[in-house]
Amino acid sequence: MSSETQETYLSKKGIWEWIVSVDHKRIGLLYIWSILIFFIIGGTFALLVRTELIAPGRTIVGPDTYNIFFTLHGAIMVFIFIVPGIVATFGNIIMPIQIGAADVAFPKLNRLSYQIYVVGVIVILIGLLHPIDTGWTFYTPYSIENDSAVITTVFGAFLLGFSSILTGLNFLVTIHKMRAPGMTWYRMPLFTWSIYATSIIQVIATPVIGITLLLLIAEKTLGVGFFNPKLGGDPVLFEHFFWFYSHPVVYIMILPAMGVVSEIIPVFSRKPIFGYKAIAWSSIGIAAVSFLVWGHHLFVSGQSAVVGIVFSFLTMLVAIPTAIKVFNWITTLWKGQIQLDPPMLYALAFVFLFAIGGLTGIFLASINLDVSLHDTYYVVAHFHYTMQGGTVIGLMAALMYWFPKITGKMYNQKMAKVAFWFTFIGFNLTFIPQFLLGLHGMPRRYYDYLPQFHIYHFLSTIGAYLLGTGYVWALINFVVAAFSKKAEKAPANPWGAETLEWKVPSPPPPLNFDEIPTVTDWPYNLGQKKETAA
Amino acid sequence: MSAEHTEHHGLHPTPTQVYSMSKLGMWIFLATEILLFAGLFTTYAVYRYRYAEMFHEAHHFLSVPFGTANTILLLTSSFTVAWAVDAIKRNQRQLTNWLLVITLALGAGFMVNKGMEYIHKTHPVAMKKSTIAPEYAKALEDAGKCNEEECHAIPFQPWNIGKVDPKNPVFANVFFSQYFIMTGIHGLHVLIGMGVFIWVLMLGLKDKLSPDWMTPVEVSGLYWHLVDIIWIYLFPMLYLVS
Repeated sequence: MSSETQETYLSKKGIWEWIVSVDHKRIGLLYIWSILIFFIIGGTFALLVRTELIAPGRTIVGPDTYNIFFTLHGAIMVFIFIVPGIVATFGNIIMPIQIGAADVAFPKLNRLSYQIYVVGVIVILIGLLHPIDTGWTFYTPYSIENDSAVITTVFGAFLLGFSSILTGLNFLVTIHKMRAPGMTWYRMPLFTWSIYATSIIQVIATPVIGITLLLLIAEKTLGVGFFNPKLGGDPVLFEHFFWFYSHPVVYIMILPAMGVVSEIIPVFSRKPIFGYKAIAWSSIGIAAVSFLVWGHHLFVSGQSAVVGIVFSFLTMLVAIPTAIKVFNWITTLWKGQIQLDPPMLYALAFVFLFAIGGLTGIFLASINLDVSLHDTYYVVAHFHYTMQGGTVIGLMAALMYWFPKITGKMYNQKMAKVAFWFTFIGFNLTFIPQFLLGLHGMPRRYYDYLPQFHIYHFLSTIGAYLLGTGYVWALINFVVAAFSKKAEKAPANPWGAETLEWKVPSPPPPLNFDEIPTVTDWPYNLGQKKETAA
Repeated sequence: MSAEHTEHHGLHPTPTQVYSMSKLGMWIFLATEILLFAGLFTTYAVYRYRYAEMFHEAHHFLSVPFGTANTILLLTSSFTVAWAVDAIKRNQRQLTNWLLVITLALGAGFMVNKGMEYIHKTHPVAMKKSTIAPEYAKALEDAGKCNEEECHAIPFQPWNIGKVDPKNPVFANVFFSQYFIMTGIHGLHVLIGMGVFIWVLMLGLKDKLSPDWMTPVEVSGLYWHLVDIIWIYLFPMLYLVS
């Protein structure tokens, strides 16, 4: 147990110590701070967009400013917040401890990843604030001819991609080479499995967006003609390239969240996880299928009907490994002693919201329906159910679950539960009306709308305010607990979990372990003996 | 990373572990490099299919002797770097350093050659015609794009061909975009590789390389082979298409 005198990874004080540190836990914590700050900024833009849409016509800003707002919301959330999301934060802090390693394989490279991330964020912000109004997808030829700050923004996105590649590479080598003695693949925690699958996508998909963005910069600076139809290029090729990365990247976002949920559900059901191997391999399955589905973003972009049908079919395949996970989670819950602590509330919300997101995805995958739903609010709602209802709720679950481990403090659980209900109700109130809007034909990204859409937009905006309140409430709760002297100290294992990170003190010492542990069993023997949750 | 960090109850990886981790790390990195170039190879495949004749016409502007010379330079450098890995395994440290120097020289030769080609391609006089052909100028004039004087003064560069061929407005621009971007990004990789070899050579000169610590030589060698292989594809795709 942690005592006052024992050195932890947080012991060394001063900004310089944080800048030069190669400790995976410190780097992960820096990522947490970074992404949460940008989550709040990106969320503020979302609320501005929603506020503008609360009533038809001009409410607070004009149409050009509105375009800039949604571009900023999308670009900040996608590139700065959610791509590093769970993988760079909890992947960094928790994964090495879960496999019984003292650090990642290449600690200095890990620090370099974070430094590139910071530079990338600065560059992309310079571009975004210039501002830019292409949307976060930079579709050609508009982005070639448009004279807003596309080059800077795209270069920033390139740097962030490079950072993501290096993180993925580091994690792959770590998981392959640094597992503790006895930590076989099938004894690995499911969160680590999900990080492994995520890293594969990061390493394979990201270079393609890298070259695409470089080519876009070359189009604008050197006048080469890859995507510019005036010079013989093909703008649809840009869309193919863009989505070859940007579809798999949604699995970079969601897979770690699924890993988090796979850790939390057995612990708070006091039962061994059901279908361990199925969950582990379905992560790899999702990673594999993720590369074969990008064409569903181009159903109405002029690709051939045959290709469309193939992509439609392949896209529906994603439902199989995803459903395998959901069924295994539900089976784990079955007859468990379910404890509704804050991490579990968020984990259950994840399953519920992600199921809605996933099922509506099947509607969009079917090519004939998509022709009508494409570029409507239905897509916006589907995307937010998976990415926010999935990844962000997963991130909140991870924060609730590992906060005591990372800070050594316990947050106010009653406050966390209240925040949860704001988030959950606000979320559904925001996005269920958007499904209806989409079905009634409201296009996405529009500044204005017909009077019959007013009630849906109004409800959605009210929901967004509740949702924002929920997140801010939860985050303030964390900050108060982290810095307050009065906050309750967290024991090493407050939730009675079995994975290795709970066997080291909270917060962990600089090198995690006194000596590398030997692993003899998988980490899901839960509820078989009387547990004492502190 | 300080000294107190490195000696801590066996929590840190041994040189053997670092060797195996570094090799795996480099292989994964090479996979990312292949994916990066895969994007370019895809654009090449798409446009070669779409503009097959133009690719054939345009490739005449590239110099096969220059390309062949560069292929030989890079292949030889791949050989010398493989030899360097073998030499350090046998603890022939002096030889390793010399082989690294030769590799660097071959890489530099490649870049000089490439630079000459670039200057040649972008310099109108070197292309033996300072302005575009009179019939193109006439056609542009007829189309009202410019007056007689301006049309005949448009400099002749492969880069400009696409903009001035009235019969086929996309002529050659796509091919030369492909050429300059592919060889440009490849050239950048050659430069990065040379930078890495300079670092390895510094280690060698400080006598820090040995059969027990050959990771830098081997890992940078792997990278160099990939740079070489990419060129092996670029050369026929760009210089020898017909």
